[in-house]
Amino acid sequence: MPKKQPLLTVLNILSALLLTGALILILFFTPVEAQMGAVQKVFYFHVAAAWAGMLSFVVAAVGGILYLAKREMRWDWLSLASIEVGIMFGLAAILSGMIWAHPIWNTWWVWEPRLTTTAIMELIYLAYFILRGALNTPEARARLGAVFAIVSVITVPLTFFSIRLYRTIHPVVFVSSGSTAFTMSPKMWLAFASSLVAFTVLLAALIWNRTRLAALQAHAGQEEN
Amino acid sequence: MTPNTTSDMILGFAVLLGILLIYVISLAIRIREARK
Amino acid sequence: MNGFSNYLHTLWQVFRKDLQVEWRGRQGLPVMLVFALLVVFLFNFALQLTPGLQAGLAAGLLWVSLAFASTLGLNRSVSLERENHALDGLLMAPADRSAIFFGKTLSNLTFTSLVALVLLPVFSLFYQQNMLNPRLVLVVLLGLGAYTSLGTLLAALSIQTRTRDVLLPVLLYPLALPVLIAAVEATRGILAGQTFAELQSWILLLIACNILFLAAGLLLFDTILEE
Repeated sequence: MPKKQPLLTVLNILSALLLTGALILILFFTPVEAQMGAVQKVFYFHVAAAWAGMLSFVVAAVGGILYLAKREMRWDWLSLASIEVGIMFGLAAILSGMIWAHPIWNTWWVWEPRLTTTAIMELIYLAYFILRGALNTPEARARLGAVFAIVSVITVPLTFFSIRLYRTIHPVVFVSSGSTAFTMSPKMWLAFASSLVAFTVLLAALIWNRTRLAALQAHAGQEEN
Repeated sequence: MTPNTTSDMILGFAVLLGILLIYVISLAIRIREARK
Repeated sequence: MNGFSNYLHTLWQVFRKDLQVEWRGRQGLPVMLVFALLVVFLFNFALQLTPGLQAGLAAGLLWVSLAFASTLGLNRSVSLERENHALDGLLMAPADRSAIFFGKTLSNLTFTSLVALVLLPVFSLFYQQNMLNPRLVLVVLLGLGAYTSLGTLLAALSIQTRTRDVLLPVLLYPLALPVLIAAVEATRGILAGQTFAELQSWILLLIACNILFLAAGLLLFDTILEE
């Protein structure tokens, strides 16, 4: 039975602390934005979650490359873990993004670049799991999953640029006169930076825990999730 | 006049952190199952 | 140079075989064509399109039809091999298996281009757009090149699953979005009379997609086909 490494416990505690610290900073030490009011504060965590979602994609692709190079199952576990964690961060980012902008846009969804790209990423993540679910051996799941993760990560920047370019040609006209743009003061930058750091550490902790779960399941001879 | 969007803010944070919390709990449960 | 000529030989063999099988009555191409036309009719009524169609709508409809028809062709091209274990014979070939990838991409591209060759005059007729100009044809080839290379790669992947070719759209469509967006926008621009210079961002994006997906095929196809 693989033992739990003490570093993992440290990482877990650290991510909880950083997350709490960032939240306190945001709620009590950051100014309320004039145009949007309190809801603007969701932005810090929303962007950090989207960032974590993108990062987990990269980690999954790296895991894929390492698996294909070394053929060691632990790299496949890393890919699987990253994508599962990425689904969660992506979902959190999308829903918080919709809630954040709803008071201003007066609608729940707009096809703006970051939101749309994150939604497409979610679909790709789900496709990854459907692919794995349709394969019969752990080797096939690892190998073909790795290929799909690598090809997918190539398309993410392409998707983002194409949607952004599309938006400059077809700008969205909002029903209400509000805009989600605002200038950031130094305190806001501090909150933003702390959120990014907290979510990055949280991402590492969650991926590590999920990878450990995959290792435990393999050790126990259970079928993977 | 700054609009009062405090309830929206609470909803936003609740949803975001709620999703992550549910995931963390599911991880903990699954890890415990795997260690049996 | 022996290795390289082997490589080209395998590539050519794969390409030629696909065309021969089709020529001898495999019915893949007519199915693709009829399906593409049916899609046009379907959307015509579903979206209540009118003859004085805006350039953007015509471009979008063209690419949706081509994407659907192409997916049909991609599925057929890999399922064929699997049924006849013809792929096993190819796998025995001394060349790098990515030669198979390029050969298949080329044959898939050929078939989809033939469908496009019929669709362009049809669109010109139905929607009073001039789709027969060479700049548009070039954009269509660029778009189809990127789409079929990505599609061939993913089709080889999906055919190995339990759900077989049903999985291909799920894998292909989210990844092919940048290709489709760029292709539709470039087509729309040309129909609206813009020059290549004005559309260069889209054209460059299409070229980048072609390069990236062909490179991915070159590097990864071997791994996909491992037994």
